Amino acid sequence: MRREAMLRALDYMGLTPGTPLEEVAVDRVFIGSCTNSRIEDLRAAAAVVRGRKVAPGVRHAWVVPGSTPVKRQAEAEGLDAVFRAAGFEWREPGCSMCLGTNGEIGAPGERVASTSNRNFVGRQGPGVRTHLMSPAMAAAAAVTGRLTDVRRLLAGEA
Amino acid sequence: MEPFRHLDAVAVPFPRPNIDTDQIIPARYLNRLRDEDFGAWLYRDLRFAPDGTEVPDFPLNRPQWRGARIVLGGPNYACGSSREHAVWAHVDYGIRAVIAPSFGDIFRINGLKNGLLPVVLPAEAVRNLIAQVEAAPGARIAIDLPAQTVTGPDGAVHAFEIDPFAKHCLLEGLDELGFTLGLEEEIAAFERRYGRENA
Repeated sequence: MRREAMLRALDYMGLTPGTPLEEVAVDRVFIGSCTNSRIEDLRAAAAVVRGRKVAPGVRHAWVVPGSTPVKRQAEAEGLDAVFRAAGFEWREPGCSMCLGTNGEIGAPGERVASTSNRNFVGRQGPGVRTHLMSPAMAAAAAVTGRLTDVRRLLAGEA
Repeated sequence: MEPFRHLDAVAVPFPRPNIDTDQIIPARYLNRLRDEDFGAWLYRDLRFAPDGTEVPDFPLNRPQWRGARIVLGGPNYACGSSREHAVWAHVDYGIRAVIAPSFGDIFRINGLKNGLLPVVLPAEAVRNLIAQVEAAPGARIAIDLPAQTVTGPDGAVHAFEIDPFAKHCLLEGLDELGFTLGLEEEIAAFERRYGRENA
């Protein structure tokens, strides 16, 4: 049963065993959720993004601050400008793609680098593939267009 | 809420482990109001293809299990996000009880407050019940809440535990608000006395 569950997960995620993570391309990046879009999270993501651009293959790169106070604080620190300059959308606070109730979901088959905290089947829309990661890692995926070890990116290796 | 005392019904097996509430009811239905029929959305994306046609293999769509009122679930049934809607979807569909080796805790407690009885039985007993309903289409299972027993198609009786207060509320068809309102006279008497003593 455990094996079945794993095979089902691989199939849903469209992954082949043995594929290096850094070869997995992403279609969307979602930096958000109440737990992973606090001001320190946005600072960490902005530090990765600063001076870089969202990769052409990434169709949507969103930053959704964890709350209105976080949004105001981030704007006071100029973080919104860093994200916008890189090609991110700077959006209104809310649950957004963490839950998707408001219709903010991906298209079937899309692969999302997401800082939310649930990766259940269909969580970010029917057929949508969620890879959970930290804000810095999501920022790294946005600028390279694939899952990326942010430490290697910052060291100039990725 | 409808009282729960005895239930003798068809049981549908769905033993996949760790079924999460996103499968039970996708998030896009969470903004619907309680007076809508959440049963239509129970296991929506597993029961139906994207074009709305039924998935023939899904247990609830199999002829022998249509109209089931009991689910035989896998371990950690209904884990995942907290959503009362997952219980409403079961209840509105007509499910009154889920028998499983273990439950997502929030779902279990939401069930008790909404007339859906969660029954924990040992994994071996659940496997045995599943084997029986799979072998005999339409096989029924009987649940006796006052006696706290489940009787399988083979006549074997399995005892289960339930919190006494939750049991009382299910037997009377009360949620916690209903229970409190049942004490209205005592509450009013207390208020009058308290008002006098502290005037």
